[in-house]
Amino acid sequence: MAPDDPLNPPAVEVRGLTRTFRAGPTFGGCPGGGEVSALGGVNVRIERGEIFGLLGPNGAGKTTLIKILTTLLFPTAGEARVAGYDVVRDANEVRKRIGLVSGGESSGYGILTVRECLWMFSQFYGVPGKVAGPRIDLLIETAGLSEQARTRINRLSTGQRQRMNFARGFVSDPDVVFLDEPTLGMDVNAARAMRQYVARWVRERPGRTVLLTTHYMREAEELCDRIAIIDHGHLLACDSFAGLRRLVESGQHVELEVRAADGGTPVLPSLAGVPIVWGAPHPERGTRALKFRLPPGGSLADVLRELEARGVRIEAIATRETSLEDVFVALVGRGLEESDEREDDGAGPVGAP
Amino acid sequence: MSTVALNLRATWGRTYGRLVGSFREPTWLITDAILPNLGMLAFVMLYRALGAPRSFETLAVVGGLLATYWINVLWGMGAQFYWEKQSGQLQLYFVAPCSRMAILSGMALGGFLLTTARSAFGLFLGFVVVGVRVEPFSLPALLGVFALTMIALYALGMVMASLFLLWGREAYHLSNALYQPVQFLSGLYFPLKTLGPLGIVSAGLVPLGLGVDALRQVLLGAGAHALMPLRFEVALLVGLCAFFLWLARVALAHLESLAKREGRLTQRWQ
Amino acid sequence: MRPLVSRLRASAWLGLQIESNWTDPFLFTAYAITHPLATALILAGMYWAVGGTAQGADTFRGLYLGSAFHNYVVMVLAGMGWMIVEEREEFETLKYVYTSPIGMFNYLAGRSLVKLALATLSTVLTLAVGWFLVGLRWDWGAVHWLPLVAALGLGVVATVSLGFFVAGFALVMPRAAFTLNDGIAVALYLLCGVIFPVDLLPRVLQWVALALPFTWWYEALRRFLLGHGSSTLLNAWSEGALMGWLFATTLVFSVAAHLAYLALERRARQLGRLDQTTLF
Repeated sequence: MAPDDPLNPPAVEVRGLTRTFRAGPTFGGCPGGGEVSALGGVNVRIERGEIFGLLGPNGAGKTTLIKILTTLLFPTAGEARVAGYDVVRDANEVRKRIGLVSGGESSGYGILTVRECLWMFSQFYGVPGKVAGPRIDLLIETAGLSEQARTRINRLSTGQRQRMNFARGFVSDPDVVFLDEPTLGMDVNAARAMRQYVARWVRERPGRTVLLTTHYMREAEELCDRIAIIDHGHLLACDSFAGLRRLVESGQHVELEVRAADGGTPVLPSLAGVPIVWGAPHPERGTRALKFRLPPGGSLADVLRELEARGVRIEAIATRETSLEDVFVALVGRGLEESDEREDDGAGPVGAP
Repeated sequence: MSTVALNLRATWGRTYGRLVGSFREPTWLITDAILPNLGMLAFVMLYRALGAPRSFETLAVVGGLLATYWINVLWGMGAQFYWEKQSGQLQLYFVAPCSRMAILSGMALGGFLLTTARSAFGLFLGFVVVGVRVEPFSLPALLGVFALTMIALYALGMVMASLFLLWGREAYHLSNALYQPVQFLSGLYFPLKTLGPLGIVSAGLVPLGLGVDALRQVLLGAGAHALMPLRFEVALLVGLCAFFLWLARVALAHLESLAKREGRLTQRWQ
Repeated sequence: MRPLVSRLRASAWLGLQIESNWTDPFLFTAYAITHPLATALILAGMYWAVGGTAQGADTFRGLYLGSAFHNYVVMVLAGMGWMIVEEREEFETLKYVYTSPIGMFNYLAGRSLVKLALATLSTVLTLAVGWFLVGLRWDWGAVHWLPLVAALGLGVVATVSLGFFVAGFALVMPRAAFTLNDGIAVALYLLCGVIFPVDLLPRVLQWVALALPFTWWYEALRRFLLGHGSSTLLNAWSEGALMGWLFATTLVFSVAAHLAYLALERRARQLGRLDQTTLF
C-alpha cells in the first residue's frame, strides 16, 4: 500500500480485496461443493470525516466487505486497513476503534431492558461507568426510546429493536461506524431521526467516519459524501452523487399525466425524436402516465406541441433530475428490485462496465 | 484503558446479563436447581436397592454435586457460543475489543449462581433428606481441591466453546454426546477405580473424574475407594489447570482464525 | 385424512432432517447410541462397584430393564420440549408453523415420530449392552409377547402424551423449557421405580408413583419379559390387574395431558410467548 501520513491515516483503505467462499463438507462428510466469489479485487479509500455509502443489490458483496473490515472475516487476498490498522494483523486495535450496526439482526438478550443491554455492550468496550451512563441516556433519547428504557427487549417492536441496535453501535463512541442497512424496519420518522443523528454525529466529531450500506437510495443521496456502487463483488463506480450523475447520460426526466381525446392510448414510440414509455393508466381519472428523458439541449416545448397536435391533453407535468436510482440502473443494468429477482434466477448484470 | 481493566469490565458486563436473566425468570429454581438433583437421589436409592455400604451413597452424592458443574461447563459455557451464533449475537462479541476468555468467564460466573443453587439443594437432599455421612475433613483441603477442579473444568469448557466458533450443530451434538460418557468415564456415581486402567487414563484426560475422586478422599478417607493417593491427584489437577488454560487460549485464537478464514464465524444454522 | 397424513409425513421428514443432516449416517448412528450406552454403563459401573453378586444380578436385571425403557421417556420428553425451544429461539420459525394450517398439535405429533424411532433404537442398544457386556440375560421362551407388546404400546401413548404436556409448558415458559424437559424425565426416574423399587420411596411418594402410568409400565415390562417385577408392593397384583391399572392410568393421564396442552397453548398465545426470544 502507498505510505500514508502515519498521524492521519485514512479511515478505511482497501487494496485488491478478494474473498471467495467454499461450501465444503462438514466434519461428518456431508457433501457440499462449489466456490463463490463474494469480492473480486475491491479497491477503495475512505477519508476521515466522510459519510461513505455503499450501494448494491443483494449478494453484491456489501456485507462481506463490512465483515472483513470489522474483523469478522479474513480476506482471501488483498489488504484492508481501518483507522490505519491492518484488519488481519492488528485486529484488536481495529476493534477498539469501530462500531457495527446490522439491520435486521437481533441485538441483545430478550430478558434484559434496553438500558441494561446498552450498558452491557458498553462494558465490552471498556467504557467507564461515569461516561457510559450519560452517553447511554443521550443515545436512548436520540433513538426515541426514552419511554422504553426500562422495557425488556423481547417486548419491543421490530422498529424499536432496530433503534436500540442503532444506539448500541455508538455506545463506545467509535472512530469508524459501520452501518449495514441500519434503518431496516424503522418507520419514516425514526429513520429520519437516525439520519439526522448520523449527520450531526459526524459534524460534531471531526475525524469520525461512517460507512453506510443501504437499499434506500434517498438515504444515500441525503447522507453520503461519496457513494460506491458494487455488484457481484466488483466496485463499478465511486464518487460523489454529482460525480456519479456525470458518469451516465444526464438530462431531465419528465413524467406527464395525459388524456387522449378518444380516451385510448395513441401508438407513439417517440415524440419529437425522444423515446417515450407509457406508464400505468389511472382509470378513475381516465388518464395515463407518460415518461421520457429529455436529453441535454432537447426541447420540452417541442414534445408538448406534438402531443397537442395528436389530440392528447396534458393534465399534469413533473420533472426531476437524474436520481441515484437512475445512476444505479445505468451502471448495474437493472433496478434494485429487479436485481434481487434476477439474483434468485441466477442472471448476471446487463450493460455493466 | 488497560487491557486488564477492559477485560474485567467485559467479564462483569456478561456476568450481569446472565445474573439478571436468572432472577427475572425465577422458574429456574425448580427446573434448574431442584429437578436435576432428583437423578442423584435415584442413584443413591439404587445403591440402597443393591445393598451397598453407606459410603457408596456419599460417593453418589458427591458425584451428583460435581455433575451440576459439568452441566454448566457444557451448556452454560461450552455451547453458549452456539446460541450466540444462532441468535446473531456472536458477531457483536467478536467486533468488541475485549478478549473472548473474558466473555466466557462472564458467562461462567453468571452461570455459577445457578449451579451453586443447584449444588446447595443437592447438599440439602444428600445430607439432610437422605442422610449421607462424611468423615471429619479439612475445609482448606476441600476448598482447595474444589477450586482446582473448577478451574480445570471451566478451562476445558472454554476449549469446547472454541469448537463452536468453527462448527454449529456438529459441535452442539458433540457436547450432547459427551455429557453422559464423561459422567461414566469420570466415575461420578461409582469409584473411578472400578474402571481399572480405563479409570487411570480418563483421570488424566478429564479433570472431572480426578476432582471427584480427590474430593471423595477429603470427605471419606479410605471409604472413597480412591484411584491414587490424594497428593498425586492434586498434583495432576494443578497440571491439568495449567494445561487447559493454555489450551483454551490457543484454541480460541486458532479456531477463531480458522472460522474467519472459512467464513463460519457468523454463519447461522450450520 | 390425506391432508393429515401428508402433514404428519412432512413434519416427520423435517424432524429427521434436523436430527440427522449435520453428519453422515454412520456418525449419526454412533451419536444416537452414545447417550443410552453411557447411561447403561453408569448403571453397570455402579453394579460392578458393589461387587456384582448373582443375587444382586437378579435385582439389577430388572432395574437395568427399567432404565433401558426409560430411554423412551427421556428422548421423547426432552425432544418434544426441545423442539419448541429450537423452533422459537434458534430457527425463529415457530410463529410460521403456528399460523399455518398444519396445526401445532399435528406438527408436534409428526416430529415426535422421529424421536420415537430414535428411542426405540436406543432401547434396543441398551438391552444389547446389558446382554453382551454386563451379562444380564433372560429366557426368551418365557416371555409373554402379546401382553408385552400391549404394555409397550400403552407406555408409548403415555410418553407421547407427557411429551405434549412438556411442549405446552415450553410454549408458556420459554426460558425454563431449556431444563424442564430433562427435569421431568429425571423426576420420573426417581418416582416410577426405574432403577430402584418404589417400595423404597416414602409412603406419600409411593401414592404419587402409583398414580403415574410409568410405574405400572416398567413393572409390566419386567413382569412380561423376565417373569417377575422388582417391587414387592406391585408383585401383589396379578398380570391382568397390572395391565388394567396401566390402561386406566394411561387413559386418565393422556386425556389430562392433552387438555393441559391445549390450555397451555392458549395461554402462550394470550401472553404473546409464541415468538418471544429470551436467550441470555
